[in-house]
Amino acid sequence: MAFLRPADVERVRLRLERDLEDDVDVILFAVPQTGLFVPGRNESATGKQTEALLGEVAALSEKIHVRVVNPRTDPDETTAFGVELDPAIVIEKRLPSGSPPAAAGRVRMYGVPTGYEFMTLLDAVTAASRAAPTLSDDTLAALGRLREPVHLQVFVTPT
Amino acid sequence: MASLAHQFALAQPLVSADVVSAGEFQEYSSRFAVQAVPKTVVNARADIVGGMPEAMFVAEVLRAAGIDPDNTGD
Repeated sequence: MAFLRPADVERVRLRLERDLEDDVDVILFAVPQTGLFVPGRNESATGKQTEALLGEVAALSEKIHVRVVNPRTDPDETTAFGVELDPAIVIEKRLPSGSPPAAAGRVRMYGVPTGYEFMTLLDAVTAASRAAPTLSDDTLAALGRLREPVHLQVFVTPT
Repeated sequence: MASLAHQFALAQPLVSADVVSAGEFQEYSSRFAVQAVPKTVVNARADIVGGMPEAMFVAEVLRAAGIDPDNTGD
């Protein structure tokens, strides 16, 4: 079943075409579903849905590159990206090959980005793709005053 | 708040931002006493509840990080 309705597909395609500058990596961390119940082993309840949704979005722009990581078989990468929950989406600007690695996993989403959170996903992909921040100069100056790491967790409910 | 938090993280390397679907991760959310959304938890301790404009949100984040947002003389 497609997540995006035909009318939305065109709207999203136009938005991505207009707003994306550089290529963006969208990395999904989810344990694949086997359909088997194994005591003590958790499987992602919505990872498959999330992968399908990301695939639909990536099909609308050649600048979006989706990659799927299985946290069970690749725990090192999962840890490196600071991923705590399953499914997790990490959004990052794609760096030219040979560039020093960016601080991995600073923009994350946990859960299927449906409803209003679909717009949050598009906003994050767009912002990661663009060189210039859309924040005001005052906000950038305020953020520049931080001296220690700050971890923000925004709890939302998809509508 | 969700998109603003992501933009803060993109603009400032010291910031990381997670957007958590509270309905999908109820147990995790209950650890942070999430009773209403949107709710922003800063460094797993300070809370910012509700939606607000960009200027107010960044001021709240600074305050939660122990910085007086009104004293720009540092």
